[in-house]
Amino acid sequence: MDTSNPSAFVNAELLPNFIGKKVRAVVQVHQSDGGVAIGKSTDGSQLTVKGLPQVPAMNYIEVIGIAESNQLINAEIWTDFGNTFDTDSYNKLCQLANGEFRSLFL
Amino acid sequence: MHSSQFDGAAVFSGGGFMPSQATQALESSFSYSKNRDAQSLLPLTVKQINDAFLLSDDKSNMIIDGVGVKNVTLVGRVCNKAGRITDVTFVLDDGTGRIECSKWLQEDVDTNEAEGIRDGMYVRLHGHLKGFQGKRTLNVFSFRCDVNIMSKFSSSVF
Repeated sequence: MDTSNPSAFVNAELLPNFIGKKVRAVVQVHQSDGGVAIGKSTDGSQLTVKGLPQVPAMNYIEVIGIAESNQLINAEIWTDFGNTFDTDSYNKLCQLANGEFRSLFL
Repeated sequence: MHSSQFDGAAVFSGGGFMPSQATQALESSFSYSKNRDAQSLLPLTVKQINDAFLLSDDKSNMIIDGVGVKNVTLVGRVCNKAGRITDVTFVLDDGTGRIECSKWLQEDVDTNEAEGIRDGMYVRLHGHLKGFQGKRTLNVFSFRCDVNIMSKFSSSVF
């Protein structure tokens, strides 16, 4: 069992709290080419993801990687969640996992 | 007519198998599980298991939120899967941490199911927490791919 390297659930608002650390976020990809993708976070802001392969536009992709800046994640692992995804629930989860229920996650 | 002449004692008295008291003894020593709490199924994160493990004095009997931890359910990504003939082992990463899991393959259906798990998949597990040589591992008795992807976020807070 190892909890030394967790990846925090984040939306765009929470991302700046984790610069240099491992995070995970769900992004709806709007544009992706040559390893850089631009998409929308679950709280409706623009995020850039480095290290993604070509993914279908408008699909929801979960990326796990290092937060490089306020709007940039360097992806190490990614999972395609398809084109239907409940962003409101995920966004609420990000808030709870960094707020009221933080002790269960980080 | 024949049945009325049947004498069990005479039939069995010739040695070999004898009906004995053994069956009755077994019955009297059998007891039902005393406590429903012992069978509870807790949805947890790896972080919660790790915290409880570090805090508890009695490593074989952890308590989380006042409930004894026996059976747990977790959701996460499968990593480092290693399949063998008798069992399959993998690491489950739920984002809060990683825990070693193993499942014994007893029936063909178990083996077929285990072949379906691949690294990178999200799965929901039901299992039994076991301590072995100071390590905590999850003895899995059921796992399934998450069809409804959002249910993986129900692990503790929803």
